[in-house]
Amino acid sequence: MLPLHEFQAAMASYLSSPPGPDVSHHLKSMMRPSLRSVERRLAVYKNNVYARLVDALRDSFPAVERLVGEDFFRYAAVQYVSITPPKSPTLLGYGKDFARFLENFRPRRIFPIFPMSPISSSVTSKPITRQTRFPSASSGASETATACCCIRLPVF
Amino acid sequence: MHSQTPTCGSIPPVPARAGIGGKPAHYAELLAARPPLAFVEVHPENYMGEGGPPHAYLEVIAEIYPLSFHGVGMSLGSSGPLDRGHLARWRKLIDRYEPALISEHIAWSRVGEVCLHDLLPLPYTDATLKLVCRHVEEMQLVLGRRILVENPSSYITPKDSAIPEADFMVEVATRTGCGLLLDINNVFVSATNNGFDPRAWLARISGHLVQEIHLAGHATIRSGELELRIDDHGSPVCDDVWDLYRETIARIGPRPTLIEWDTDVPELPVLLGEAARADAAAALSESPHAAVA
Repeated sequence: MLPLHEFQAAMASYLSSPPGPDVSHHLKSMMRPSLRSVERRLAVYKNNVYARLVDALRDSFPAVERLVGEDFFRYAAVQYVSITPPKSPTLLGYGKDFARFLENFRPRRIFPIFPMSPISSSVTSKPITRQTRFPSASSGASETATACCCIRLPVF
Repeated sequence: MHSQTPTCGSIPPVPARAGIGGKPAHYAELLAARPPLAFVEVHPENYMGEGGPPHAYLEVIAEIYPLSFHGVGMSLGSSGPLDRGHLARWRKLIDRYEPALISEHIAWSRVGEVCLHDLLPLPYTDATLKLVCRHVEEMQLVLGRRILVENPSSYITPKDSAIPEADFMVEVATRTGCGLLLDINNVFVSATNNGFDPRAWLARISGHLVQEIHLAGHATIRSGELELRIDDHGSPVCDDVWDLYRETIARIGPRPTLIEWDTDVPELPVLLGEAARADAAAALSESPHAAVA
């Protein structure tokens, strides 16, 4: 029987890697073989992880998303998540260095209207929020980004 | 048998009727209309910041309705130790709000310092049973309260799982004195995805351990030849899950029941409609003419 920490390390390595269908033989061998399509099943978990974290970044940087467009923002956010996974069980403060990451993000050089000045963000001063499809209460209170369900926002 | 199970004798029990999730979009309307609800459930992780507005709303909600704190980040199934800082933040919130119900998940989300923010599958073995029991006992000790643990929704089964999931849940509760939060949508989703019978799963759960029930909607996706149910909490509760709910409460009696809707959250009256449907089922299960399952 595989030690639990090895199973969890293998899952974490797969989930932290950028979105894509590849699942190592090692990780596949840890799953019940009678269930078909191990790669597609594991992809649900990876999509969940990335969608939730990209959504959190969208909520923290709405102006940037409007500026660069949804597709580019999502692409940059996915790259950021893969190299800077969260270190806290709350998402408060996640994305603190996303602005700095964007400034150094290589694809930006082909995007002519991207500003050269530091991108401002409010992430350091308020909690990470998650925008629901319905507007939040008029006082401006908004919900932070955790829920124990799959987010229906396919990233890949 | 557990030696000490923290009690909350000063907090009245939650009525065995429906509650909803506390969404900021609904707060103003909830406070104005004050519909009859058994409780309001929130994720404590959303209230661990210093910001004012979330707490201002929660304090007013707490004056009207019993609160349920449903955590997502404790990672009870992690091979490493629990996050002591997270436990401390939980304790601070418990002391401030004295929620009537406290719950977490049989799952894991953290490896070392990396938090993956999803509820990941745990192999059910003697070793992981002991691990989860240790973590549940530690959480109950630090919070000074009994917790409930929820069954997860799953899309895959680890090869090393040797204990049936329902038996694992019952054994955790028996050994630690914690209770069970029975998510009936999760049972249906997991059963469909992993090829087991949801009714056989539910039959293995001792009713007296169940202290809360969750009901939610799910989506169906097709990926190649594979059809999967996705636990997205983004739609009304489906008929199959309502059937399982009615059968379960006919057997064990009604319980506080959450209508869990977190994606594409509708207007408040829609949530209240689902809650009313759960209440109607609960009332019927208490009727002297109710059929015995």
